[in-house]
Amino acid sequence: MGRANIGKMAKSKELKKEEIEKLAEELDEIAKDPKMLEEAEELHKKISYLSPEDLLKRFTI
Amino acid sequence: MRIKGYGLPQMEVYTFDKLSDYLGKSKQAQYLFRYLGEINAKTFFVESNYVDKDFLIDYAKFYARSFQAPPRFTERIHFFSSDLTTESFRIAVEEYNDNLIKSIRKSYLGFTVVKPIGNWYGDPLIGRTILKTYPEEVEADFRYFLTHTYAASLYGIPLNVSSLPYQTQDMAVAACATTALWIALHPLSVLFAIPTYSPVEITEKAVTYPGEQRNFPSSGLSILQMINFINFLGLDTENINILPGKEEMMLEAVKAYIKAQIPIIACLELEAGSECDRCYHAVIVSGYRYDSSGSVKELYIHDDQIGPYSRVKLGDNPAEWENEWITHYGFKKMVVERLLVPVYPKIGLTFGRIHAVYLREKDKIISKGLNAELFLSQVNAYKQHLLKHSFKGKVETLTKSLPRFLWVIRGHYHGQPILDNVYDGTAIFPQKLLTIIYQYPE
Repeated sequence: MGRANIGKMAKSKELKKEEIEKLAEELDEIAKDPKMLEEAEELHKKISYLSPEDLLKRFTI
Repeated sequence: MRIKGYGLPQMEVYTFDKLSDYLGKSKQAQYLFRYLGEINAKTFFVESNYVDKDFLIDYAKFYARSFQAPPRFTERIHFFSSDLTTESFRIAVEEYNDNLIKSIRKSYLGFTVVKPIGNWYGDPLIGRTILKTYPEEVEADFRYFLTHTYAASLYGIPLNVSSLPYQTQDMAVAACATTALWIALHPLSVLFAIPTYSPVEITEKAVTYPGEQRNFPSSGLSILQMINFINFLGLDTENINILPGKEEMMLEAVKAYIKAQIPIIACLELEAGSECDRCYHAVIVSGYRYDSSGSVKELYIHDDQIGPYSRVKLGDNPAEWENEWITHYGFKKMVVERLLVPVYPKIGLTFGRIHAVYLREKDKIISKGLNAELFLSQVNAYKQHLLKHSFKGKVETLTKSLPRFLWVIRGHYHGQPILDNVYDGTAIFPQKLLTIIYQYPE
């Protein structure tokens, strides 16, 4: 698919430049949100934790 | 031990139906017949007395001390998609026939090393295997594989194939975890300039943290021992637990790291099979199939008990996998418990921390009718991508000094990038560096 067609498609889906810039601003707010950092810490701890039992699981097959 | 097919005549091209004379009838050999058929293999060539570095080291460190030591040479089987004949191959070599050599190179599908040692049934063990991937486009979908280009020289003919090396486990020196680490080492070596090691060397280094059973013959590694080996390489391990209700994260992690060509070790729990009631298995995720919105439809894994690029069907729960373990080997259930990702220590921003940001940004991006994806990139690859696109501040961005590793959250429209939020991959906490808004012709 050519870029020109994508450009037209983007227009037809009302993905106008102004809207994309507005989206960028909204996303920027997310990155600055202090609650975001708390959520990031919580998820990091949950998904990276290895219990002593997990560490000793043997992969034997 | 004499292996069926070992030591047959040299310089002869065979048709595909003769392959079982060389590969035997192991379950991995049977898988290879199916896979090679799918990638359109028609002929093969046997390179006898091939010295395979990995096997030679395993031989020197383990087999050489057995009273009845096997031969130290292997056979390497090269596969072609053309109807190559023995005569045309001879002409190509003897007369240096340019057209024939080009045709041989063009139809090259890769190779498999056959070791002069066998399994319980006397079928030879499959050694280093580097085979062409499935096509990258399939119907309306696409495939993405973890590959690098590997070279082979057949009597002076330079051959290349883009792939990820595979081999089956040799329980004398390696079980599934060692083999998964051996597979992972190849892309890690290219990315981070670390040496590769043979299976026996990997097991040796991993078991410097002691386990419950003997080191050799190998009875498997624990997660601790796998991490111990990754530490030995000077790398760090990103552990990603697959949390109940958040299994989609597994697919997002697969895409995020494979896009950076970083291998992922999937830690699987297998239930109710003939070999055990509940046991653990390690494989490498080697690719995925996705549609234009970026949704993952199928995974491909390098499984030492199956073969390279084994297709994994995903159920409603993407952490519950279905492949040959279920369809051929009689297990009832296979679930991904966690992913282990060997990463360069400099990548300080963990998947968990950036993924939390991604989840929030994804909601916003999707609400605008776009698709979202998260991926890790090295700065050179990302700048190469940017160079091909138009966006505001292009020169300033390309000339700007950026960290080696970047996490990118992208909003795209059926694969066409619309917006990127770029985060510092070397930071500890998420720190945005750039926003790229792509421009397209009206």
